[in-house]
Amino acid sequence: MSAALSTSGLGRRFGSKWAVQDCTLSIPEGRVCGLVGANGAGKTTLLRMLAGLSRPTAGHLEVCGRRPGDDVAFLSDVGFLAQEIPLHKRWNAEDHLRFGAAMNPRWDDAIARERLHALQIPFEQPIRTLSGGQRAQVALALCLGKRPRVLLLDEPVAALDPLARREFLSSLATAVTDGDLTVVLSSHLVTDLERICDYLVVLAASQTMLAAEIDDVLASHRILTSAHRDTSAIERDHVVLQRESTPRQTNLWVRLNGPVHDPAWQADELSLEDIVLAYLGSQHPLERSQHLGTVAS
Amino acid sequence: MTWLIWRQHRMQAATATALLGALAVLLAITGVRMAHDYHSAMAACSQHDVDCSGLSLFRGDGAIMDLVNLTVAVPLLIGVFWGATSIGREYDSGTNVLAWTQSVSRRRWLAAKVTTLLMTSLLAGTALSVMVTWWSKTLNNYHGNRFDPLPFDLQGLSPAAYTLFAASLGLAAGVAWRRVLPAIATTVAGFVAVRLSIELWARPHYETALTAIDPMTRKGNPAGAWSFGTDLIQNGHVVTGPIGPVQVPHCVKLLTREQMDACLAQSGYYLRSTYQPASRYWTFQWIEAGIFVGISAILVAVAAFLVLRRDA
Repeated sequence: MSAALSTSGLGRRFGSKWAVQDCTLSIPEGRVCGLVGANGAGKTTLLRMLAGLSRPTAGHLEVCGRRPGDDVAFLSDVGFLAQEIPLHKRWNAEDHLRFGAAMNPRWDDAIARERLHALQIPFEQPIRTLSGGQRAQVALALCLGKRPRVLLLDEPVAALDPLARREFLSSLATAVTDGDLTVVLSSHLVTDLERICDYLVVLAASQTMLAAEIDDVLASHRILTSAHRDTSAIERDHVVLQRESTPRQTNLWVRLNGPVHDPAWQADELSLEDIVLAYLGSQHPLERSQHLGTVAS
Repeated sequence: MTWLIWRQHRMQAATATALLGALAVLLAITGVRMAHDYHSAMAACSQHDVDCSGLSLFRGDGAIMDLVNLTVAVPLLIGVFWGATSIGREYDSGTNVLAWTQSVSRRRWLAAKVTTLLMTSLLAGTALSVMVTWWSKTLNNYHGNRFDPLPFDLQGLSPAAYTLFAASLGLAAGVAWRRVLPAIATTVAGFVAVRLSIELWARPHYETALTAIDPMTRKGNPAGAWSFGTDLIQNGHVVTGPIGPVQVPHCVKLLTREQMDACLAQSGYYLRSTYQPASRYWTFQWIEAGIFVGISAILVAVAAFLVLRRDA
């Protein structure tokens, strides 16, 4: 399957500080990809580079087979929703739909309009009088009406209350069910992503720690528990992300490279959130050549 | 893009049209009446063959004259309300990101924004200039001098050139700051500083000033000239300080100004004046307009470079 977007050795420096460094990843077409990382891990910078809003300092990137740049072909293929949800505060939703129609040759008015109707968003009220959740929905409708091939969403729910957050994510989920659209959605809350994503990228310290299908991620990560103190055999066969030792037992957060043969270790499943946390606290990024999914669970 | 530009700037366009329209009505009414008053007074003078130089007209028109003088600030207002907000407000509210992630290239968006700003500013400045220049014709004929600093700024090419400059300065400041308020402050400070510097230090030197040496009995300055002052000279030296009983004892006793001037002329005194002749008015207008258009071009280029080169 071809990659909707890919980066290699991508970096962006602000002054002397690297916001994103040596980021290499590839997201297949049609996936809904969650991009997680601690605050300051470079999620926003990465998304802005993918959207063509920020220029990379180093490395390469491609979105839908094109380098992000100031050309209509690229811009038509990419939708972007910034964290601040920028809209014209004095305009109403209707104005924004007309704006979308005037600025996008592939504009699908029905998609955008029906969404806002279904969500009962008032068309004639100025944006500044709408709630945060309603604004986010208007911005999302604008992105979807554009009919992009890749949709980049930078923490779109960060500022929303739990109910609005759930509504936004479920309306996003229905919008992306029909196949072609690739979505990258950043958040620092794994539970948000778990609901709608089928692919996961973990960024930490401006590097890619993990990029894989969520099913494979869940299948290939385990917590191993044993009274043993000797972990050398496990470390030889698998990747230990984190360890925790007490006098009575040892816990290992492990990415498996095959079945665990030693019956002394008890293997338990990990939640996606636990796996992400293990990566955020670990020093073991996924080797570029390595692939998940070949592991028996 | 046309839709976006119109939707974003229609209020500004409406406000400007209303204000300029109101000014046009005011100037038309007063201008016609003042021209009529002036011509009938002149006609009366020549008919009765009296000296009209002491004539005092337009006593009740102080307010409209003040208003016309205040239009010297209109370019700055356009720089603040149109220039600084044009792209500065987009950055400030994040809507630049919204515009730059639609299917229109940043280059095209920028071209539309900048062209609209510059063309409307030029149009407004030209309209203002046409109105004020027409209205000022009577005063220019009456006793005014369009080469004096304030009339020079209010008539001819100047208002249009200043407006273009103010708009470009506001545009560049808004882009550089990415915020409206500091951009407005920069526009005001920059506009006043550049305008005053050029008016005070550059304009008098666009061409070498002429020097005329006239007898004491000369009447006034050459008509319509921009005079930089008149010195009293004797034997080729400028006489400084008061002249009185010590220097010209025999002239002091004379009673009238004419007698005094004649006496001084006999004692070898002359008047030396430095000035730019009236015939240079349009040359100066073109030079000054050229300077401001040139600065505007640089500012627009800087703004465009920053918008296209910098991250969103």
